[in-house]
Order: sequence, then C-alpha cells, then structure tokens
Amino acid sequence: MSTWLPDVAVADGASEFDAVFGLRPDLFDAYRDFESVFWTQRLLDVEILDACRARCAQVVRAEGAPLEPVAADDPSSLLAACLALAEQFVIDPHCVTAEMRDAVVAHLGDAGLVALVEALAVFDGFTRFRTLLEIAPEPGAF
Amino acid sequence: MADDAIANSPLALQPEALQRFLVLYGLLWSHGEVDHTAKEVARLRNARITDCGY
Repeated sequence: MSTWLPDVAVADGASEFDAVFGLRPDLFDAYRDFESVFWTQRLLDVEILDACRARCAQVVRAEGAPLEPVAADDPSSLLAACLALAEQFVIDPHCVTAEMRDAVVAHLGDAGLVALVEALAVFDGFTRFRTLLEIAPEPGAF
Repeated sequence: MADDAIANSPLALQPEALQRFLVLYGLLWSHGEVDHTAKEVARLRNARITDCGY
C-alpha cells in the first residue's frame, strides 16, 4: 500500500497517516506527544473523546466516519453538551454560544472546557489534514 | 513563560497540554521545508478566512 505521494511507502503495521506525517519525524513526534496527552493524562473521559472525534469526522464527511449520527440520549448530559459544542466548533466557531460553553463548564469546569476545545482543535484540524492529503487514518481514528 | 501572553490565557488551565502544544508549535515555526515568509502569509490568510480577531 502506498499513498498518492510517490516516495512514501507504508510499512506493515503502520498507517498511511504514520507514513506521511513521518516525513517530518520531529513534528510527528511532537504531534504524538501533544495528541496523546488527552488520553494518557485523562484530561477528559475516553467516551467523550471518542464521541467528539467521531462527531467531528461526521461533520467534515471524513472517510471512515460512522454512518449513524453520534448523539446523546440525555440532552442534559455531559455528552450532549460536548457534542453540541463539537459540532458547532467544526461548522463555525463564531456561532458557539455562551450557553453552549456554560453547559460544558457546568459538568467539567473551566479547565475541562479548555481541554475539550483543545481536543476538538486536534480532531478537526487533523481530520482535515488527512482529508486534504487523501490519506487513511490510523486504526480507531477518522 | 511568565511574560508570554499564552501563559495568562485559558490554555494555562491545562498546563500539561499547553507545554506539549508549545513544543509542537515551536517546532512548526522554527524548522521545516516551508520558508518562514510563506508560513506567515498562510497564518494571516487563515486568520482572515476564519475571521479571527487576534
């Protein structure tokens, strides 16, 4: 398997994302270190991270995004608040309202809101990165 | 970092993430294949398209 980039081969067990981003190994290492902090330091629940990443992928119509809309059963839940913010963040962050932010802060506090927005920036930005470069995501990502 | 505006921003509420982000962002600006002028033009264009007030 190889990407559209002519000199980039994908090693067994690696992803196209690894191979392409690995063209700049210093940046890739720093990216990995940053991206992983949300999971390894438990800045947010894994369920929230997974759901928001999936919702971001759906909004930008990324390859491999879940077909069924990611949604929360309880509209007053933390998950619902995070998904609402995630969706609007991707569509147009200027339209994120104070009520949307307050709903997240009510569950997570100010630091939690910051963690969520940083995670959304990673999900949104690197989903667009993959889409633009026509590279497949890592397993479990979009 | 006390004089850095970012250190007084909401990002500082997540210090571990901020420290790692600054490493990535610093590398992006200080090394690479794309010259600094092109990066700056792209940054400004991005800010204009997204109507960033900063």
